[in-house]
Amino acid sequence: MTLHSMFRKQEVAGASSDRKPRLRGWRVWGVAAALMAMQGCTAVYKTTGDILVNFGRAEMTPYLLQYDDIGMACATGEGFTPFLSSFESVGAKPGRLAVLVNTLAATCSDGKAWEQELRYLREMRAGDVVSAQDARALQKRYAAVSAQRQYAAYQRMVDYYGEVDGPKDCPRLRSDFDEVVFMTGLLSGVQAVLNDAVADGSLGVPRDIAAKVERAAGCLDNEKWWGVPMGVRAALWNTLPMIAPDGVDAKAELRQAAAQGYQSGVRLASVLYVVSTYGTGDMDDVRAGIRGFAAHGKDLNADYRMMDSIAEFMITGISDRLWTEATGKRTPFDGLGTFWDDQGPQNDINIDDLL
Amino acid sequence: MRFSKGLMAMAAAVMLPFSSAAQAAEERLLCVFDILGSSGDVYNVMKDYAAAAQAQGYALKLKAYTDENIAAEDLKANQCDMAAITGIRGKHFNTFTGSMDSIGSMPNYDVTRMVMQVLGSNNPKIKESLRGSSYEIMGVMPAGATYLFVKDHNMNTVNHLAGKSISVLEYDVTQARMAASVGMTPVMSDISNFAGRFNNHSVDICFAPAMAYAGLELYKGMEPNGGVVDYVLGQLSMQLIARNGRFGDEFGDWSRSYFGQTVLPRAMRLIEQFDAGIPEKWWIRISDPDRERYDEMMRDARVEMTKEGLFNKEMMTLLRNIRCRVDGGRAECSDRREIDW
Repeated sequence: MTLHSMFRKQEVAGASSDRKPRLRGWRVWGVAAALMAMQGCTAVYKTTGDILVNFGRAEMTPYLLQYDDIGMACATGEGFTPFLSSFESVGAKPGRLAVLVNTLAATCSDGKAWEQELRYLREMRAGDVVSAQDARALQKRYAAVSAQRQYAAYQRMVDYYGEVDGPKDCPRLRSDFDEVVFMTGLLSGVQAVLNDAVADGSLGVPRDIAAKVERAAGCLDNEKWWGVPMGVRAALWNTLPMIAPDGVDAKAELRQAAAQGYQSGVRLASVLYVVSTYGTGDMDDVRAGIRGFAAHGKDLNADYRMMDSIAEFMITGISDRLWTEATGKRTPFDGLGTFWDDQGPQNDINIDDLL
Repeated sequence: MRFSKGLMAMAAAVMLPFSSAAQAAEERLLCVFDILGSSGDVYNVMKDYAAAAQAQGYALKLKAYTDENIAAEDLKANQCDMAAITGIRGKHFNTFTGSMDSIGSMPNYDVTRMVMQVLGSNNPKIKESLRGSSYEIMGVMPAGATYLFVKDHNMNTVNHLAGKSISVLEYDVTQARMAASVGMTPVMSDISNFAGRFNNHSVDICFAPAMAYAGLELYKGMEPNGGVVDYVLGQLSMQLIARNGRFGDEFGDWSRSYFGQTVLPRAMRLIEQFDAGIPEKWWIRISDPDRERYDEMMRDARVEMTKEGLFNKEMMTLLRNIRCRVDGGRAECSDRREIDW
C-alpha cells in the first residue's frame, strides 16, 4: 500500500454523508438561499473547510511529501497556513494540517535567518562590525518568526494529541498521517526553543518543551520512523544530560539513529546528530554526521522525499556555517560532506621508482 | 632628495588610513559556559559581544562548553584567553565579584541593576577590585534570583525547614553551610542532578533560579502540594573573566561598560520573563515580619562567613550600601554591623 492510499483510506469514509431527498431546479436554489439567509454562509464554508481539510490530508500531504523541492515546501507553508487555519472559525478542524504547514512555513524564515548568520560570520572575518551587527539583528528577527511558527506547530500538535507524561500516556495514533503529524510537532517544538534562544528569548517559548518532547518521542516506533524517535531523545540527552537516563551513551545512540536513517532512505536522524553535537561543540561528530549524510544520498525513500530534503537543507545550513567560519565562503556546490582542510588523495606513488 | 622625502610623506599620509583600517584585529579565544551550548542564551549574548569587540580591535573566537568545570579549568590552564562562567564557579578567580551571590545580599532586581551598573562604571576603586594578580573581570551579567522550591507548601517558615533535605551545589561551601545552619540536611549535588533529585522526591527542597522551573520541570517535584517560597535567597550571575595581559586596559573598560549598558537590560528582560513564567498558584507568600526576620538571619550568616573569609568584605560593604540606597527603610540601614567589625 502506498503512502498516498494509506492517507486517503480513512478520509473516504468521513467524506460519505447521509443521502438526503433529492431536490431539483429552483427548489434547490430556494432552499440554499433560505439556508444562507438563516445561517449566513457558515454552513457552506464549513463544508468547504471539511472538504479542504480532508483533501489536504488525503491528497495534498502525501503528494507534497514526495517533493524534494524545499522552496515549494516553504511557499506552501506560508501560503496555506492562514488559509487552512481560517476554516477553524467556521467549524472545520484543520489542526493536524496546521502542524505540517506551520512547520513548512518555518523553513522560509529559517533559511533567511541562516543566510544572515552566514553574513554575520563573513562580516566578522572582514572586520566590518556595523554590517555584522546588522546581520545579527536581522538573524534574530527571522529566528523569532521561525520560533513563532514552530511553536504554533507544536501547540497544535499538543492540542490534538495531548501532552505525554510517561509511556502510559501515549496518544492513540490511528494512522501514518497521525504519526507524521505527531513527530513533526515534536521536532518543531525543539526547534522553537532553539530559535527563541537566538531571538533573545523574545517569544518566551517554554523551555520545558525539551523534556516533554523527550518523553513523547518514546511513543513512536523508532524503526518505522527512520531512527528519528531515538534521535530526538538522544539529541536532548546529549544537550541536557540532566534529563538522560543513568548510564546512557547519548552520542552512541545518536550515531545509531543516524545509521538507521541512512538505511531507511530518510536521513532525518542525522540532522539531530549534527545539530546536537554542533551545540555541544563536538566538532568531530558534527563532521562525521555531515559526511555520513552526504555519503548516503542514494536509494532514498520516494514517499518521504520532502523529509529528506528538509534534512539536507538543515545539514547544509550547518556545513555552510562551518565553511564560512573557516574560509569566508559557504560549502562549495556539490561539496556537502567535504571540508576545507580535507587532505587530498594520498599520492603514494614513489616518483623516483618511475624514473 | 627633497622630492623623494615629500613623496614618501605623501605616500605615508595616503597609506595611513588604509593601514589602520586593514590592521587585523588580534585573535583571542573566548570560552563560554552555556547549559545549552552554542544554542543557549549566554552564548547568544556573547556572539553580539564578539561583534562589538571586533570594533575594539579583538577578533574573539567563541567556544561553547556545556560543562562549566571544564571551561573554568581551561581558563586556568591558559587554554582560553577569557571565559564566561557563573559567579559561583568564578569565585576562585576573583573573590570580590565571586561574593556577589552571597546569601540574601541582593533582595530584589532594583538592587541587582544598581550593582551591575556600579560594576560597569569603571570607577577607579571598583576597577582595582576587579583586577587581581592573574585575572580581570571584564563584565558581569545577572542570571536571576534564586528561590527555594519545596515539595510541601507548609514549609513556609524557617522552623518548618529543619530536618528536611536539600540539594546544594557541592562546589559552593556557603550553600551547605547555610542549609545546615537552619537544620536542613544538605545533599551534595551538581547542576546535572540537583533537579532530578527534587523531581523524584529524593530531596525535599532545592534551591534554583526561576529559569530552572520550566527548563528542568521543577513543577514535577512540587506536585501536588509544593511551591516556590517568595523570598529571594540570592542572585546568580555570569561573569566574564580574562587572563591578565591578554587584552589592553582600554578594552577592559569598554567591555565592562558594554555589559552595564547593553547586556544588562537584555539579561533583565529575560530574567523577568522567567520569573513571570512561574504560575501564581505556586508562589508561597510570606509575611512581612517573617521576611524581616529572615533578612536578619541572612545578615548574621553573611557577617559570620565574611569573618571566616568566605566572602569579600569590600563587596559586602558595597552590597549593603546599595541595599540601603534602594530602600533606606531596611532595618540594617540604621546600623553598620556588616561594615564595621
